[in-house]
Amino acid sequence: MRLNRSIKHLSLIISLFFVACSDVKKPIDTEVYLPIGMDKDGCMRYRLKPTTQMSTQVIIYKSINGGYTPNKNTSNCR
Amino acid sequence: MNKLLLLVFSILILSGCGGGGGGGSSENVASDMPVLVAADYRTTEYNAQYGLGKINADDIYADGYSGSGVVVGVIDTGVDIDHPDLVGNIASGGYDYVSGDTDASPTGQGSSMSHGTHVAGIIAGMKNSVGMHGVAYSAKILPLRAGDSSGSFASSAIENSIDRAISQNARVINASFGGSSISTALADKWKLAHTNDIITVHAAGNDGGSNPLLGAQLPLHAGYEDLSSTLIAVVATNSSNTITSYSNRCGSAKNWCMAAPGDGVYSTVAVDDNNYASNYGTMSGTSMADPHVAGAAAVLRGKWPSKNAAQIVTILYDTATDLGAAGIDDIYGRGLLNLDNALFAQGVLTISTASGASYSLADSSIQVASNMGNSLNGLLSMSVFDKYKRDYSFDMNGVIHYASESGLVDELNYSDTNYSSAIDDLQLSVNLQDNSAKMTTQLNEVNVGFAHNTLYNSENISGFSKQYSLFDNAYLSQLKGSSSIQIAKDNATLELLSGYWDADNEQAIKEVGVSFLNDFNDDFYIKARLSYLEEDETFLSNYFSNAYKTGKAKTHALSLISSLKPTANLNIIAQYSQGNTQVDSLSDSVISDISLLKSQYYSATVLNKNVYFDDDALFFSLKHPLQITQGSLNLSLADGLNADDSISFVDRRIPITASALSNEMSLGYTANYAKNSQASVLLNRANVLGSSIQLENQLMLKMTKKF
Repeated sequence: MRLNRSIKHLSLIISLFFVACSDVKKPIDTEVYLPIGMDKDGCMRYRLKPTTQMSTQVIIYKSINGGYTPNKNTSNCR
Repeated sequence: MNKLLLLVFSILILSGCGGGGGGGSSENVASDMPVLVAADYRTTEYNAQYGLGKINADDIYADGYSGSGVVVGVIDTGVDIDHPDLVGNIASGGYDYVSGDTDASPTGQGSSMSHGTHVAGIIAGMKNSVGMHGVAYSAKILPLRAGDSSGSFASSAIENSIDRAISQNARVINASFGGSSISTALADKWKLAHTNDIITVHAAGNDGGSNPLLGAQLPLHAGYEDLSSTLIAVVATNSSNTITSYSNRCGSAKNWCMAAPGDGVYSTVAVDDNNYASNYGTMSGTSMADPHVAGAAAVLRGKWPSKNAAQIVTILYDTATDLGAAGIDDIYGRGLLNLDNALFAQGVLTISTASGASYSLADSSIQVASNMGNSLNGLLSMSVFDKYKRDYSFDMNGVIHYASESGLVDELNYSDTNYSSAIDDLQLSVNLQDNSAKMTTQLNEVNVGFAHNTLYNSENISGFSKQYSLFDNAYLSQLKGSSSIQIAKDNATLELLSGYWDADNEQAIKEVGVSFLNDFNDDFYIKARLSYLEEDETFLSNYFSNAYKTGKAKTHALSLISSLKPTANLNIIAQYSQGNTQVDSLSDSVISDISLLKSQYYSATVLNKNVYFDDDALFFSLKHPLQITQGSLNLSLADGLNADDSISFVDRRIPITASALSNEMSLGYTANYAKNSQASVLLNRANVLGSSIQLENQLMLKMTKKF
């Protein structure tokens, strides 16, 4: 029992370690694209709004393939 | 418009900036290159990026400035350093703080993969007839990758990037990113950039809010107030110069905020970015407005490398085009970036002397008498300064005015009054002259038509009894007015004269002359005249005003006059004069030294009386007007700015002797056509030395009636 408990604790520590390490390598931020209204062509514009980090101040459009792009010409509204 | 060249007067005046010696401006227009005007820079490449036209960039290119020598740090998502339109403008020393290596090119295929490449193109895309070019197409981009392709920036990466920008001598940092929070560590890094004299340019953000993002509001926070002098917040306008709906407004940062084009801007994108089909594309946002200002700052820093960040920022603010409410407002702050205006001289242009004195350019001039001829032609250029102490090259020929004086024209305006009396053999005469009257009136004589005064011996031709005869003093030939007293006894004459050079009686001239006449017989005599002439602000009637002013001039002159009458009706008269002039130089003048001036004058006249009628006279005269034959000026001319922003000076010594001789010929005839009525005709022909040698011809008629 005690051994199992130690193994569990060790597993938890190891798990926490990897989680912590992965946080260092990958942004913990979440990319959020906020719609900020249509432009004169009827294209919905978005801006990037990370929850914690700073971000580029460029207008984004939804792309044809479902992602996001700063290129209006490849957006899903053209 | 190429306003620089006016600059200055018709020039202005202002041609390309003089660099050279002493660390002047870093950019120059090669003198052997064809002159290009702004229109020549409105190329396909230029027009592809509409923002260049909106900020009036073409004029500054025509003046030869495009950010050469300036490094701009681009803290962003990486820059495609191999992009064909950027590869030549990438500075060494960039770094990728996302991946931790020296290759600052973007990786990943996120929506912001090309963001940094796009920003870099707006700042310094190459001018190579391909695609588009940047605002400062001769500047260098220092790529500093702190954001990933998704567009997120870790604070530590930004901090490291600022450190590197400082160590790599970036003069401008572009920050087309922002957020709702900022760490103290990052804020302190921005402050460090400020203390290192770097201009930091921050995107206002795309929230459509009334205030910019936090980074642009740093100066509002205690301990960071000083950043307002070097930190610029930038809002985005569209092609109609109107704020975009998404752009944050200047709001609380309005005093350090301005507008620039940011909507639908065409620029470089990463070559392998799947979002774009070519190496170029459009993006919108305050991220795109920001690099316009960064590029403009680079252009100004390249033009005036001695100016600090705060000075450059002030110029950008003061010269912006006001938009929205008059003055600084909550939407556009200082207004729309106007690069042409930012390069154009502001305020009163001044001339600086080596002693530290400063004079208005417009109030300083050089008025050259004919005795200097065209010696100042093609003179020199020097630096003049605007209200920000920015140097502009000025062609000094723009301040030189040449006297129009063959002796034929100005004297038309003369009037004079003579009073004389004689007691036994002592004669006293008083002469008052003034050029203000068009018509002359003398005692019992009315002149109709022209009155002319040169070359005649008033003793012999009463019809031309004016102030200038061959016996007059050539050194006083350009007096605009004078009063004199002559006392003559036997063969000696003492003359005291007080005159002035200009119509406002400001340049005083005094003269003392002593003449001795030796009669060899009734038909031949020689007269020797010694004179001392003192001028307060002119020298030999050359007037250098304000910045060029000269001190007191003292002239000692000797004149020899001879008269020979081979027959009863024939008279030959000759005169030769030579003088030395010592001119005091003034410490607070551009003219730092004037050597001893030597000058000479000579003339000869043949007069024949009773040719056709009784008491008529025919004469012919040759005259070599007074000219400086030896002498030079030393000018201490401002020649740009040193690295410490002090003014650099260079000495130039120039001879002021005319390269060619001027001369005058006169042919005249006078006769009595009725009792107490006289008619005279005079033909003059003169080569006049001014800015060029001009041939003047003049026909003059005069009729005199005595009552």
